[in-house]
Amino acid sequence: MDAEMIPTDVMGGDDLAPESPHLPASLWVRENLFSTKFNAALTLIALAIIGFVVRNMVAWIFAPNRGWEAVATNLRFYMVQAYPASSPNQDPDFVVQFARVWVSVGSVIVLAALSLAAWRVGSKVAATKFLKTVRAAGAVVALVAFLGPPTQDVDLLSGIDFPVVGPLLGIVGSLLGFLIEAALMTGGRLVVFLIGAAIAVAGHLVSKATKQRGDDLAFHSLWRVFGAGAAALLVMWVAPIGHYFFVGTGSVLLDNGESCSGACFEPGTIASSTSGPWTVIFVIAVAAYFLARLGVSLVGAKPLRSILLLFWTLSLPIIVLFVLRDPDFNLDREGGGFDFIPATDVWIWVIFGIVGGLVIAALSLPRMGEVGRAVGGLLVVASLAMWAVPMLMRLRFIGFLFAMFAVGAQSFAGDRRARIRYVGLWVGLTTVMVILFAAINAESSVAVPGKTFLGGLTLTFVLALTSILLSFPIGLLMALGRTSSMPIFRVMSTIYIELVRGIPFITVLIFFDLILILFLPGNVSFDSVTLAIIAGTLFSAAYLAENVRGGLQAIPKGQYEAARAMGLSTLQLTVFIVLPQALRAVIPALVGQTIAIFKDTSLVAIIGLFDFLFIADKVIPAQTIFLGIKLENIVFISAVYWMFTFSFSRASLRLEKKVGLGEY
Amino acid sequence: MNDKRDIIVCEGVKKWFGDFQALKGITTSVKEQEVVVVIGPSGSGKSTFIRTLNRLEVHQEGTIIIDGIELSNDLKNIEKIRSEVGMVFQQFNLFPHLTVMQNITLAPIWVRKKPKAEAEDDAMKLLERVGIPEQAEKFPGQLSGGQQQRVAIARSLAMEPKIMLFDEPTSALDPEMIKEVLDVMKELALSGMTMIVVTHEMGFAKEVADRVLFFDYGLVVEEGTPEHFFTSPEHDRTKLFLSQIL
Repeated sequence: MDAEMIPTDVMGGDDLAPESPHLPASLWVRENLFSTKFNAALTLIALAIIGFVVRNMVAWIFAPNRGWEAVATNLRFYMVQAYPASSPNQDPDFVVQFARVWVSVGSVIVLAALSLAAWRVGSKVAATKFLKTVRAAGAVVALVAFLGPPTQDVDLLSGIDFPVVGPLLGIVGSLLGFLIEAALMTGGRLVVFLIGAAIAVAGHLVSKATKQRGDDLAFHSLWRVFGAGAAALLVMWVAPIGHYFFVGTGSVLLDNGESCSGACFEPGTIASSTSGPWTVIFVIAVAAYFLARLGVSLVGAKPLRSILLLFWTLSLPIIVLFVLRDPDFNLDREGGGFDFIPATDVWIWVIFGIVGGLVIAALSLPRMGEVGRAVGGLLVVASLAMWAVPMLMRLRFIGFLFAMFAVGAQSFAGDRRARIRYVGLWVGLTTVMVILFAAINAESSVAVPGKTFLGGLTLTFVLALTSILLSFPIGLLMALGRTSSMPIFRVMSTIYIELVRGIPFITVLIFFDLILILFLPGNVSFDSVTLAIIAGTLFSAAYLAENVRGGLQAIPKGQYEAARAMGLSTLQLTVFIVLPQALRAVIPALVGQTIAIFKDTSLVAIIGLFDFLFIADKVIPAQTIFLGIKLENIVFISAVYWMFTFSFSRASLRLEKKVGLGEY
Repeated sequence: MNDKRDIIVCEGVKKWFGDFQALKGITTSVKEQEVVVVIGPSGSGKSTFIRTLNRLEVHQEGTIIIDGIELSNDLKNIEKIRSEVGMVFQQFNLFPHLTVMQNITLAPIWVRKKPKAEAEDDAMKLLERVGIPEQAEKFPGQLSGGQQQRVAIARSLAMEPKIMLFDEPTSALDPEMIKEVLDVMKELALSGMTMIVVTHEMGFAKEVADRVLFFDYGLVVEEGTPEHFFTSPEHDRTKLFLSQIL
């Protein structure tokens, strides 16, 4: 029915819905918090509890005997543990080696900035709204300062011993006492209160002014991020927070003439060795963002997005295996052996990449038809048989991937362009895998004490990200296997999922550490980090499988029927129809699983790895200078964990909105 | 009509769901370019019957031969038959995460291996044929029911089938939209497509059908031309059914 056929007087115009009334603050408080006597009582009790808690927390955080220097001095230790093994005083090469860490951090931040531009993240924010947020933030800061611990002692009406009246007067007295104490702020507390109040008042006045102007002043929300970054940099360069550092051996002469050894503190600003790199990274990131925006407006977003996706995929292995580890490829030495790249890895690339690529190109020809699928099936069987024969581990992995590509050749190759892309994907994947395996097998030339070059927050991130990324395909396969119509897949997947879900993660870790060696053929041994990654991956995959299975069951049967009626193969309908819908539906569960894995990495201390929690819990309280200072460290790492997991949930909300969850 | 060969031949087709027998021996044949309308009360097995024709349901006894290929457990046969038989469902079953254009071109690109540009050209021609070329980049959720069903018809036609099966295509639509879908189906019939339509739309049957089959309790009770069927039905059961719906 076309729109022109409907007579226009029937259509008319829609009336503008009345704007929802926006109550001013005082009315809002009266209506929502004090509407009835019961509500009023609840509000007062809640306010009392909140005030009590905030006051004690602030008192605890800012108490003069808090050992926060234990955290501040050990920040580098927290982030990268003992990387590299040397220290600034001992090794002139230290700066060069530590620069690897800065390069890693910087490249991730720059990639993030480029991604913000390529995916056009951010929206317009009304200036008035922003300023109201600023006003609220300032008010909160002032309020916290107001509720803080007293700087002057005021004692009123305490110790009155009359029954009933005594305690009552005592409560009134302490309330009055509290108010008087609060009003008599001095020192740092007063400064913070004034700053908070000033921000609140300024925000209020400016928001009133912009509102009256009548224009809809708006700016891009990313300016808030850049502004916050610039403000943080300013604080780093200007604020007199001071410089905490360790002196390993001997002692160092400070600027004020004193000498110091062990844990040292130099008043002034943060060391330029920290603020310098951060400034450089920030400038490069902002410049990259604007350049990317320019590029997107010229050639469109798609090419940049493809390149960025490739870089993000490769970023984790490149940073860990190449930048931080600095593998020594030994290309110029003579001789053979399985670790000599020109002898083995190049040949592996030629055989699997070139010859294998030709095989896959042949298998994807339309006229191969059934023969193509049969050959693919044979190759899968052959690749599984490779696990029984002693050979290099990487041959098994690449062989398995080759079989997977061969099986999919008939389903995923279409016209000539599609076939070229499919073969190109295989060759690219082989190249990447060969290079990565060569890097893993090469010796690292960075000196580290102990088992591994990864520790602290770096280790937590590497473990969490690798486990999450690797557990995805395994979890997907298990979920599809569990809902498959073929009994062998169903049984195997169910056994795996139910077995792993029944064991606590810590048990899985210990099991892998002690017993896996006995199960593996030959003299294959894994280092602790690999063991932790394998354990985390297999553990997370079981939970992921169940999450995805929930999504699979949410797909209406009609989708399968329509796909089958059109002649799509099982593989095609799974990839094109089922998985996109199922994964969209379970994004909240997947993000929850990611957060859980991120926190579960704290259990790897059990196999001797120095992760973020272990450092706070055991290592720092054992340092002679900071003996027994545990609570401050725990509070610090809790805040850091919370910061990351909260960002994950916020990002997930954005992702859900972007894929249109709940819209169809 | 007599020199057209039989494109669908069913002999004694029986199907059970557990203990319940849904089809009790269907013997019928459909000639090329014939339009067969299947009517009957709910639960009579008419949907089950046409779903056995493209193996969405599996028949336990009897033979079904479509375009010379026997429908059996042989996967190759099933694939060949499915590429020649298109189906339109009551619930549309469009893929909600793909645009209309992607819905239509998915199977031609990945099953028939057509190049993308050619598939999109053909898809636009089909969208014009069903009357909604401007909706190509929209998502199914943004379309009305009648538009969605027309997209579903275009999607089936994209695979260039020889036979089109319609399982109550207008039962889930508002009365205002039924006409637009029936118009498309009429045009399809007049252009020479072999169609089997399960429907309650008697007007459509009278206008377009070459033959009407009346199903009840898993059997074909009566079959005949629309004139014969609606003016002088033979069986009492048919008379009872027609008296209730006309």
